[in-house]
Amino acid sequence: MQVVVCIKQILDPEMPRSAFKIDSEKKRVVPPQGIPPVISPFDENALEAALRIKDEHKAKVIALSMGNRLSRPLLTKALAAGADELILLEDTVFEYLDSFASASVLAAAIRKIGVADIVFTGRQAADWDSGITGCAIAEELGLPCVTIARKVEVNRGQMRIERVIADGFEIVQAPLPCVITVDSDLGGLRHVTLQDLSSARKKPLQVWKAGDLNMSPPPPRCELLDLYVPKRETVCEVINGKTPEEAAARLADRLREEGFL
Amino acid sequence: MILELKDYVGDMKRCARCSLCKWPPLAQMKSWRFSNNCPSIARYNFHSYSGGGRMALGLALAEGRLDEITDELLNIVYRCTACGACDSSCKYNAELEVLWPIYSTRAHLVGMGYLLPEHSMIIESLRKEDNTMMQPKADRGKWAEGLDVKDLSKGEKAEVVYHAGCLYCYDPELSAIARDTVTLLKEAGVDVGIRGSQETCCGSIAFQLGFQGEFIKFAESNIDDWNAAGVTEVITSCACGFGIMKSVYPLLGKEMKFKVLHITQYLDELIKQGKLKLSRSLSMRVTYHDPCNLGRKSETYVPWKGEEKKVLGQFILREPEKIVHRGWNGIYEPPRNIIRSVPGIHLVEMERIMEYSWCCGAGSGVKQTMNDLALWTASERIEEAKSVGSEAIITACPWCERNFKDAITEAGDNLMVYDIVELVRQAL
Amino acid sequence: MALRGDIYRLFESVVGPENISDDPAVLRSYMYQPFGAKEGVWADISPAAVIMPSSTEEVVAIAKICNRYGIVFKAMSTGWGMHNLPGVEGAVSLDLRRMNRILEIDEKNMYAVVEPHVICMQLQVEAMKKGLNCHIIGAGSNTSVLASATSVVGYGPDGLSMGFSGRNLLGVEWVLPTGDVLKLGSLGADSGWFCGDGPGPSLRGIMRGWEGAWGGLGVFTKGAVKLFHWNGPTELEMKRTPPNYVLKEPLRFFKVSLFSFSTIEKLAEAALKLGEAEIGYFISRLSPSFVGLQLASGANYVATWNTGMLQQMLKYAFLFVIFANSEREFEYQQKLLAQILEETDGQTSPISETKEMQEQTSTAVIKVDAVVRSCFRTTGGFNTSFGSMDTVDLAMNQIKAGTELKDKYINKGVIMDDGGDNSATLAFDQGHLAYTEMLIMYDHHDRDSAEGACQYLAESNQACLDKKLGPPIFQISQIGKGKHGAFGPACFNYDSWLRKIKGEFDPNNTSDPTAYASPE
Repeated sequence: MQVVVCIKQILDPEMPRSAFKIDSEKKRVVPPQGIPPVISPFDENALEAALRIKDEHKAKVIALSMGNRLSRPLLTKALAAGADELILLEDTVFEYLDSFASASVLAAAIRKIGVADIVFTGRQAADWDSGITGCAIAEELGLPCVTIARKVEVNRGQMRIERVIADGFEIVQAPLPCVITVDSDLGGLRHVTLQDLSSARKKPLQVWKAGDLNMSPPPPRCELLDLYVPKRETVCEVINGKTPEEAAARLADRLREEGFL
Repeated sequence: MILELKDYVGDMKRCARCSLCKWPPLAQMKSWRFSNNCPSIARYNFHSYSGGGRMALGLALAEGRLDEITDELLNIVYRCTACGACDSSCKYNAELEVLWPIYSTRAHLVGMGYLLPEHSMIIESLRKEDNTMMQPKADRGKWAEGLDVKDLSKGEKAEVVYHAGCLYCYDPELSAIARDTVTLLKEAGVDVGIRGSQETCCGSIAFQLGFQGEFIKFAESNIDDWNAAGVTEVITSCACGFGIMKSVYPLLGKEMKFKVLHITQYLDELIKQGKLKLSRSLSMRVTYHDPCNLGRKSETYVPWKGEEKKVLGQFILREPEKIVHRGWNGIYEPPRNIIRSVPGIHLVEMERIMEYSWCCGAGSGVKQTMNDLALWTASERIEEAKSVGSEAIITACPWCERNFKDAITEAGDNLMVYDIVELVRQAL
Repeated sequence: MALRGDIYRLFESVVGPENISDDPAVLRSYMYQPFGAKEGVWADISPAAVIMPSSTEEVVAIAKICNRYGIVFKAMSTGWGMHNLPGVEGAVSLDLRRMNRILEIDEKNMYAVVEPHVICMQLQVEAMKKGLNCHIIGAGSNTSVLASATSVVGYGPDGLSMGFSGRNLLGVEWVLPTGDVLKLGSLGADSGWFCGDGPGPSLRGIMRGWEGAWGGLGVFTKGAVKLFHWNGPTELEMKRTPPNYVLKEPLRFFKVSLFSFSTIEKLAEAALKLGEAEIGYFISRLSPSFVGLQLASGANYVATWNTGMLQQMLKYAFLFVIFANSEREFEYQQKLLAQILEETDGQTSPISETKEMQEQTSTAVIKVDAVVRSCFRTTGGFNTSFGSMDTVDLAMNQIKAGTELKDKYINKGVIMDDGGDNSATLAFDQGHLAYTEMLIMYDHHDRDSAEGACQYLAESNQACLDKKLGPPIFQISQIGKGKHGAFGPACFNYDSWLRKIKGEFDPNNTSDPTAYASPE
């Protein structure tokens, strides 16, 4: 069994607010110095899902990442955690792609890999939060897709998936091969030790350029009209009262007035 | 952001490659044996491993001249204790920034995702456990168990907060010094409290390794906590903590309603005021090792921001005039005053002291991640201490002490290592 | 151009894997060389690898591998300046940093045996412990003792009392370009290091001639240099006085004086007379700009310069230092100096006796520790032009020609306005010879300035030919190929001798000829 996990390198969503800068002319976020990029957290959940399948079924796990100037030290964390192979789709034309174009490149790579019984992705990437790429990969590959999984199992050639819904979860079954997008409810990526990190350097790492995939990414289907940091305004108002009870009542009135209650 | 490589392109471009960064300030060189000032170039020899070599690589990165980030580049960038000796030596003549371009090169690489796995582990520990020691956060306050001291994190109030720092909190051998410090302060009548398990890392290692995002989080939260606690003074006996609080915290632009003091400054004052009386004679010939972060690196850093104007044809005049941090204003006298006030003790100076002091080897994560470099650097210092006939080396930083002790153990040497607080306790 | 894997491994087997690298980051750091006549700071040619031998045997092994496989090598000591890098593709750099020992200080016979990476300051502090001192070149005490003795120029303003590096060199161990070891002077006759010219072969002229082969004739692995009497304390204690460290206590029988003259001819006359009188420890022609920069921050310097005070006070000035062995000698030297000044209308500068001048200058004179302050700090780019180690008259003619030409470029705004006459240095070798070099400061990151400086240097080289001022010391070799050829016909075709020497000593042309000469 062969499992492919798509992991995306993103800017750290937990960077200090003062470090977040936008180049409004280019409509891009400026990567800050001194704050390392991270693997999108949902993709780490997806990797964990793949590794759990590997734990159970001796599957081969291939991690796949796409972009330009990808960070090896960061992405080899996938190998350290237990993936067997890392493929980097690295090319200048792979930078700043929209979700659909990304999906088409990733799908091309998966086709090149050949066998992919399960493709895992995060439910959405923590930078743009679109949540499209996983489904679009399925579309490209003509596979069924189950989104927002919190538990995955392979049972007699079928996937059994617990899928998060608003008031709990539902269980769905899908045939193999299929694409599954994973939620944080599945659990965090297993702990990686220093030894894991150094032994990961011995595992295979391939770099494919656009030419290796015999394709160039399709034109974007989304147009980014503007990118800006929303202005936040904070007004502090002290609600007084003769007694705490009276102050509380006034506070409630005030909140209702503003439509917060 | 504090560390931006582009801010130092001007300095990096004007390195004369004169190699002054590889020696103590020339006029202060005293022998061939101890004529190195930079552990990194002394150990690895390639020009790349010097202040100037690192500036060249920083410039190459900023100008996009390095197509590939090799493992060796990361070695060059990180096999350095960021002790700042290169910087002091350069200031002596060329007046360039050398240390901050090194930090900024690291931040640049970190931003690109080029990290050493060992450093990632330290940062992970910081993120998850608020310390750099890969230890559980819950154990942070254990060093003070049974110690009768106010815990500010439990709402108690005190004039002064004692910040123990990661190493004192988690190193079982050294935490006695932190306990001694608190006891000393209390005995001298100081209204002191600690933050127990709520104390967090000062962020120094994150900063020095170039993880400035992580640093900013810790620094800001420490400033907020100390402001909220209403303390007038923050005292630490960790030179690394002191150095970063004193030199870099003010750059964050947050109001600091407290003074930052190193324990040696405080004890020096207490002794002068007669609140601590050192009466027990300790007959010993000792030398004092200046921790980099208490010495040359404790000057509040003022980054130059301004305009470079051409006058007299091609003379590059910086307006406003750049403040040259020569490292002359570090904390050098207080620790020496304390040692001298111990009856019977004979203080002898090593060759490389104060702003051109040789590093202990532990700084900037080197102790945790490249212990061989740390121990070699320490062994050089131990040789220097012995060369002046010293029986003990006194220092004022747990990282220096830990590293010296480890190096002495490894070499089977018999030089003693004391923190200045231990010395004071013994002399009381 | 990368080194072939099998050849790399051969070098590696000589020095060990930790002492050789062809990593792009390491090579890139070696390519940073701001001190050379070009725009920017990066060398055009990268070494194929950097190798750090630790002994003569290792240098020999490397040279033999180079000869066998046709690899060009170039050695460097402290590596300051573009001429330290190989000038051809595919060459290896030999960084001699690990050969850094002072092998011997012979107190009785007053010499030291050093390896290439011993810097002047290291030798001086060790020599002083034994009541001895060493000559330090004008570039500063951060430079190699051996390199200036065997390979590059070697003048320093303390040369008034301590010779110059080329003359101070005694026995030498020389790894020839072929990898054979040649021992010169008494060393060649198994008689120790005490003499450079016998018993045993003396090839001083071939080895370095007038200004050295700049690393184009193999590697000098050990050399003995003459030491001189030091009448000061065995250790000099310093104190901090911004911007620098200065002597804590003034030295006995030591006096710094700054004099100025009404004309350059008068100055030359005084220099000659002082030389003849054989007094003094240190003499240096100091330009107003050089002195001003020693003492001040950038802004202060500019403000002072704009008042014109420095220029007026120091127009034709020199610094003279007396360092006597006894009260009587001290008085004698002062008396003689006063007499010479009277004869030549020399005036003591008003700043001569100031505390700053006395403190800062005493330290700078002994330690030669603050050259970068005056030469590189202002603009980043620095170079020298007209210059020689010849007679006082020639030095003065060079200063005049240099000032005139510089004015043109100063007026264009492409080099720093340092008053034009920013020439360093004066009598040396006990006053028998005179040295000069005309400094220029420019911004090598500014295209106009860099191009202007290069044009100035080209024009100054031509002026040396046209006005018969002799080959400019640093320019022939720094610029590299072909320059000896340009000056040869005007100077007894000396270049054909260089080519013949090169051909005989380096039949495979393995020792990088760029800064020297090629056989053909």
